[in-house]
Amino acid sequence: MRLSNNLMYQSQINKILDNQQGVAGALERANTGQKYLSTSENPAAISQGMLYTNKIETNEQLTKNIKQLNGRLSTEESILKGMNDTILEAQMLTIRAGNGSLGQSDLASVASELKELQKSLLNLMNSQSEGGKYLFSGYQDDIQTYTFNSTNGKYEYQGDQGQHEVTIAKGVEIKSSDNGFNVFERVDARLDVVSNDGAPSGGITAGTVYVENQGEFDRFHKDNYNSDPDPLISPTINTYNVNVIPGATPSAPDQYEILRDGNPLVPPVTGEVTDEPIEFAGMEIQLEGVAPGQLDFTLEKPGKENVLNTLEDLITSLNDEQLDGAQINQALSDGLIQLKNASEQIVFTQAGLGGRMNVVERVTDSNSALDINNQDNRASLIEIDPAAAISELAKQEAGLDRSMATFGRLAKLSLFDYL
Amino acid sequence: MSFNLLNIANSGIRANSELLQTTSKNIANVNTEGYVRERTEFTTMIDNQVGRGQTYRLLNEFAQKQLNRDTSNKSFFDQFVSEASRVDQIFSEKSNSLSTSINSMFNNVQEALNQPSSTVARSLVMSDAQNLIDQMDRLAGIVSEQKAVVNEQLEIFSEEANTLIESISSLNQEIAGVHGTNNEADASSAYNERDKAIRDLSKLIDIETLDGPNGEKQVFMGTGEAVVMQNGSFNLFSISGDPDTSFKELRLDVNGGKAVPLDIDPTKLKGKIGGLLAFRDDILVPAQNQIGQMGIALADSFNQQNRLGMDANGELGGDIFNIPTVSGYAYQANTGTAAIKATIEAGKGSELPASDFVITYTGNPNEVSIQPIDNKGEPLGTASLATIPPSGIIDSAAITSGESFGLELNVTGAGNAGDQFQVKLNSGAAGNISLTTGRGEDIALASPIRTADGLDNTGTGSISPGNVTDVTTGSFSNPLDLANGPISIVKTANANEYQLTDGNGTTTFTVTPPANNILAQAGAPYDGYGFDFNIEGVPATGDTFNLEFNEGGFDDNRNGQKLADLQNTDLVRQNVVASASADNHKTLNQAYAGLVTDVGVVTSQAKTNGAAFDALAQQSEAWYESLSGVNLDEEAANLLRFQQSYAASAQVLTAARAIFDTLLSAAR
Repeated sequence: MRLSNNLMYQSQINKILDNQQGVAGALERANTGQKYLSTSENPAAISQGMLYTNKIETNEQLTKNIKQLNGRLSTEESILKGMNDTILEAQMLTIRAGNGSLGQSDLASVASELKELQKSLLNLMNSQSEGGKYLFSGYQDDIQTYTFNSTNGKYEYQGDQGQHEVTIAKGVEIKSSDNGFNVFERVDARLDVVSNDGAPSGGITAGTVYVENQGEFDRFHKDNYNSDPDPLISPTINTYNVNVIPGATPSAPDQYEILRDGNPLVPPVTGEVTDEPIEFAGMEIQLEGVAPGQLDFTLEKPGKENVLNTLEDLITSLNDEQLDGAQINQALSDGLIQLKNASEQIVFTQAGLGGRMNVVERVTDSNSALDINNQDNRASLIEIDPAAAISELAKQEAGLDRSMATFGRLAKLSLFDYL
Repeated sequence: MSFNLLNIANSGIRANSELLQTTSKNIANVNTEGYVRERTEFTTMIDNQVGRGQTYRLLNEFAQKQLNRDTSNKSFFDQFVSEASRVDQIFSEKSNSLSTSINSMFNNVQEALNQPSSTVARSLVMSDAQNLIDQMDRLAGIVSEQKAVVNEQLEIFSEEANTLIESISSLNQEIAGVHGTNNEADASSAYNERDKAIRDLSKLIDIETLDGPNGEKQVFMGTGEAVVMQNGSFNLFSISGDPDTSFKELRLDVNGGKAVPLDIDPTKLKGKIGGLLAFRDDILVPAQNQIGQMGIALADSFNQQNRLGMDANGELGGDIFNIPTVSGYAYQANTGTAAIKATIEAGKGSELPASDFVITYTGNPNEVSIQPIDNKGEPLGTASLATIPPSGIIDSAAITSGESFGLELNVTGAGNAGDQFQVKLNSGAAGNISLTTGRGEDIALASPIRTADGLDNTGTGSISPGNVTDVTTGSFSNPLDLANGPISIVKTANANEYQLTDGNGTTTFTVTPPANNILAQAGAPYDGYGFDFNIEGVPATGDTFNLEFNEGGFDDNRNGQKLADLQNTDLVRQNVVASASADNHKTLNQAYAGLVTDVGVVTSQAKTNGAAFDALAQQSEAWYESLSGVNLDEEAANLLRFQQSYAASAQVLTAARAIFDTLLSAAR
């Protein structure tokens, strides 16, 4: 084909321009480490790379969240451990107070020791974060967790049942706090009857009802306590009556029957009244007076008591010189069982905490594995290998060199030079 | 004989000097653009004299037409690629990435969640939200600047095209004057200039040429409209925007604007003008719409979730982002007085597609149709119908058929049947979303309700934290509290039966296990409170559960968790038309990646096509040049050859003279 001068020069120059662009591009790639300079070079890889970048950026925050969460959980763990130790110590003291050989002054000194333990528990329960926020107040972290109400002499929980959650992986939200309600309030109080003295009537002038076998009583209470709010149900459904009638003959001993709200139990519970207390469902019932008559006692509604109030009651009882042995024993039983329950609740919380810390640890591992994967995938998609970048640059430079050399050759040739 | 010899020599010298002249003309014009190589040819006359020379342009008409066509295609892609690459590069730049801003904002939301009562973390969220809008603003700004540049360029190109059309027409007349006369050879420059003008015009738009009777060339657009006609008449381009004056369209004014202008299909224009319009329609418009759509989807969903929570002042959350209202563009042909303003209906941000809309008054009184249109103005899917309520506000409630597309239109004035408006909510919103507040305290991280298990519960049942879905039902009072007071639920002795007490009285009801959404199961009026909760586990008879206003609950981050979840929620609608089962929504990050990819794909396709047409254009140029181009080596050879034949002719003259002298001296 016939070539025109124009065309020859134009195509040569175009080649040089193309090669220059190639060199500039390769240079840019080598400098920035990017495989592609614009999306259009490989839209699929770039969009994939962007999604990996998103994951990496999100993961950075999750890693921060994990650090924060770990800090909180371990703070809480150490507080709970301290509390548990304190409660165990209080339990030992309570057991010591049950030693019948202690005199009033010994009991008072136990009480004052318990007072110190109570203070340190209060302090731990009102723990604050580094930012001055109360750890166990639920959502209301500005409010002191426990305060003493001087009107009723009780320590009262001021927070709510909120639990703060922290996201540590997509879809994995871990509770970063436990509220005082779950840890301290939800401690079962010892099950008991409403009044140890009962309500005597008729010939029965007085009586006492004491729980002596707590395990048996607990079972009985759980099986029989009726908490149905239905107004049609008798309000005294949880009242039991010890009905005493004279024996068939004057010489025969008095007979008793235990009724529930006036109705016989199934099977009926009857017996002879002797000097020994009547034993019924772990309770020991003492009666005074003559038949016929009746002693009513009522099952206490199942309740909760926090460790501060348990200790407060115990201290009050130990300091009270008016109480007789049985009453002190009741107070000690209350204290022992409730301290045990409080400790169990804390151990239970610690177990949950440990479980959460395990999850966090696993997620930390999987997060960092994911992160490495993501970085790796992104690199293989949109980042250039330095060796490849340099060799590409050399290749482009060689191309430019060649086209410049050939241009020179061509430009030098002209027939006019030979005329 | 010698007389004849003289004549022959004379004609030889004349002919050879003419040849030399043509050769030197060719050499001189080697760098002249549009110059067509010429050749002079002679025939033998009677008496063996050299006849009259004929100089003509060496031109292959087919090659020329092919070249024009390929030039149009090449310049279309050149223009498109050079414009698109800029946007492509801008969107590829990591520092411009909207994703980074989105991630950073949501990361800070998480940070605030970790310490909800920290004002520092909260204000970081606000400053990142500001950054995000700024980033959106910047990207949308770049895009709308490009749009302005396109408008200006379009203006320049159409003027250029008009100048070329006029000059082709006047050169045609000049050529008609000399065509077929002896002066034709001298007028070759007019031919060259005209052909160059045609080639230049083909760079701007796609054209076809047709040879006229007098050497004239008639020029038509690729789509058939006549541009240059016989006898010097021609049509010119004009630019106008209807209804959006900043969105220019190309028109052809037939007969100097005396007749109705023809609308030109921009997709078939090709050339630089076509490239510019395609760039605007395929890249700028979708990009701007998608940025705006993402902004609206994010702002609306963030606002909605924030409203369901309680802020750090103990009040119900308000809007964080301000979504702008845009005016609809009225078409010039409208006869009514109606005007339309558009914004997003609260809570419907994820129903908005990334398209513009045409609102048309139908023949029925107070009825309008809402038609989404694509970037070329073609309808997408079927139009919805809506009745304008007395308030003038058309939202999802006013729709009679189809869907509202998330729009809330405010109509004022009265429209006549056929009146049309174009609503460009997405592009209008792209750069105009703002923060309603700069205070971090206004982020509602807490939930306004909290729940509690009764202290003395003996069963394993527990109440879930509760979920707020609506705060506008009147169940919240001002200052913030529960209007009906706290709710207390007691398990009765009957299976699945509960007793509920609050300010509305007491009711006993049976729930269907599992005990989810207790209030909904309790029936009216409780099911309309706008919040609900579940009871999990097995409650014992007499166990109580409570729900109360979350007073002082500033460490609560439940609503904040939901705000943070928006990052992974499918918020951005993809297509106007999709089957019910299709996954028609994407997350913000996916949507942005999609936008960048779309720009990249379109650019990359154009680059590939551009390279193909570049090669084609080079080939046809080679074909054209192979005949019409000047080769200096060839001309050098010709020069030598014609020099020699000139010298020879001169020698003939000398010989003739010598013969004549010899004859004279012999006769003396």
